[in-house]
Amino acid sequence: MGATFRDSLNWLHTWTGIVVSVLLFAVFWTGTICVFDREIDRWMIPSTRLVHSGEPVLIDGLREEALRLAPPAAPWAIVMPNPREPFIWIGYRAATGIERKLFDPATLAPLAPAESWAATRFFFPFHYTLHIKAWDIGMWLVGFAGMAMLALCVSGVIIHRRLFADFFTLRRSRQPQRFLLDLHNTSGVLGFVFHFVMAFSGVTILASIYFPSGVWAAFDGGRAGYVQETYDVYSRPRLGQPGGPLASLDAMVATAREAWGGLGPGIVRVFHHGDANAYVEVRPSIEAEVAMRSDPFFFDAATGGVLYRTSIRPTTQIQQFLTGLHFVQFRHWTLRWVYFGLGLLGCLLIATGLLFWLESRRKAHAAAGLSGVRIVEGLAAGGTAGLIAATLAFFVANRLLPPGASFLGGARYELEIWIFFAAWIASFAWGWLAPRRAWIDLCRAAAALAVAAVLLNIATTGDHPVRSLIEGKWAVAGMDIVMLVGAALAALTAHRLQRRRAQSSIDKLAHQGGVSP
Amino acid sequence: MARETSSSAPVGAGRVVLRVLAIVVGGYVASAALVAAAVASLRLAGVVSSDAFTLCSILGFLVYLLLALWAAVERRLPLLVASLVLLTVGGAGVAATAALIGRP
Repeated sequence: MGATFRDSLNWLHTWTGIVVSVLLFAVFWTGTICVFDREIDRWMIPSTRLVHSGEPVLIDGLREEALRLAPPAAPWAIVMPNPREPFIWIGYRAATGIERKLFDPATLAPLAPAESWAATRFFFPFHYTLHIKAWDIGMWLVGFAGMAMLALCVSGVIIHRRLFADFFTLRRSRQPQRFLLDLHNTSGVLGFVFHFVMAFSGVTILASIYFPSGVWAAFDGGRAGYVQETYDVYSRPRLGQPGGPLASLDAMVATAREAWGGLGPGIVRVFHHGDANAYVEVRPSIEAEVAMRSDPFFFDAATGGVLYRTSIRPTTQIQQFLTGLHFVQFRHWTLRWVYFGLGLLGCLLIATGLLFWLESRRKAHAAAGLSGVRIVEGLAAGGTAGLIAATLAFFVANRLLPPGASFLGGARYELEIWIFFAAWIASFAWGWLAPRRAWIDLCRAAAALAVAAVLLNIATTGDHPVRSLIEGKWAVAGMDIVMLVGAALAALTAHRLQRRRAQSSIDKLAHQGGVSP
Repeated sequence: MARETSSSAPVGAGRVVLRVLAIVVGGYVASAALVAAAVASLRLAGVVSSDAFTLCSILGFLVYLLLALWAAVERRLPLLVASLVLLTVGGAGVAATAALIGRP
């Protein structure tokens, strides 16, 4: 679309960036915080702030409870504890959706219910569906953003004239435009491989959604056929005759554990319970290796005999490796922090790109009477700083709402989500109403909310960072410390922006004073 | 990067719309047709369905990326549109033919 190859890619980079930036930032931000999704869960669901013992857990004692909870004929599952999720839960399909009941793995005593979707049920699905389920629109939008990110990565590198030199260039110029571009280039170059790999692995996870043409050509049964053939899933139909009582689940787990070379189970699922054809699936834990392995064992529910062992084809293992690379469920704390840091760098990359677009057009648009800058200014403030403030409002709401709270028919977890969206919408509105001040105000709001979240956590649970550290509640301590550091950074940013604003109005006054006698 | 070049480019609104459609829709539809053609052909050649799909869909995203980038830089718009249409129709044709042979 330009005179030269490079101009065309510049055009592509600029306009793709400006169109998808807010969506892309939302996906990157939720993805980044979901690196620590289980840790956020521990913070938001205090009853699960247990310390993982590492001992193998026996679950036969939960069989009766599960049979009592799950409606007849519906499948149910026991999810096993691990260091990041140090509790057991029974999941079953109820009229209202999937219900979860939590248990202490040491005593099998029930724990207080979650009453929050926290990160694994709110931010994680938001990351790839935006919580828009109709016709998979959310997934398609995120997929579009992922492809746009790939195009932005490639075009960004090509239009960048002095890639290597700029790697070492960060001019702390007083001119915001220059500084923003340097920051955009540096974060883009530093995180290039990570951002490209994340965008690419992200879209491949949902390949069966994005390429229905390929699914049609490959599998006779559509998407169900895809899942069945690719992941070698065993199933057998209900027989309609009553079956024997459920055999020992612990014995099945032991059989699977031995075959997996000592690897523990992640999840135990029971299908058609009570029926003569009832069967049990035991899936391995996914924290031992990068690839998201899924080679479960299937047992007869009444006899405990092995019915089937799934074998995953090498090609599918490539897919599982890409998925695992993206999901970062493997146990490696250093890498987890690197993912978090590079994710934040991606957020910085997107935000600085957006702001550079604004700064480089501000004067021209004002002169030409165009409204583009004003519209994007509100979008930028709400879509970046506003989303961060809304996330923190979500945490604060979690600590403020009492157990069992409900309002206008919304359960406690829904109230948290309403507050998140209300805060986010309000920050967009503020971005449009007060564009020159919105950034300062949103940074201040974020700083205040982060400090409030930490204080409210101390007030409601007594877990101050020092106590969390001493008691080994790393997730809670880490969450509090990250929020305090974030609050300091947000306050510093607000202070800097305020000073620059004051400086520029002084400059303007001096300039006017010089011109008019 | 700092310069804004798009305003100086001699283009009309219609051509911009066509270009954007070529990048977003044309590139996708062509790559989806090529994925279907490759999967159906591999399956006909005896490759296991899940292997064919996994491999071709992963490569399909790269094909879409390349087509989208090409659609942004190719100056001859008629050539671009014709190529994308040809890839789509050709891919769909191959996929349908292979499926007909494979599934009588």
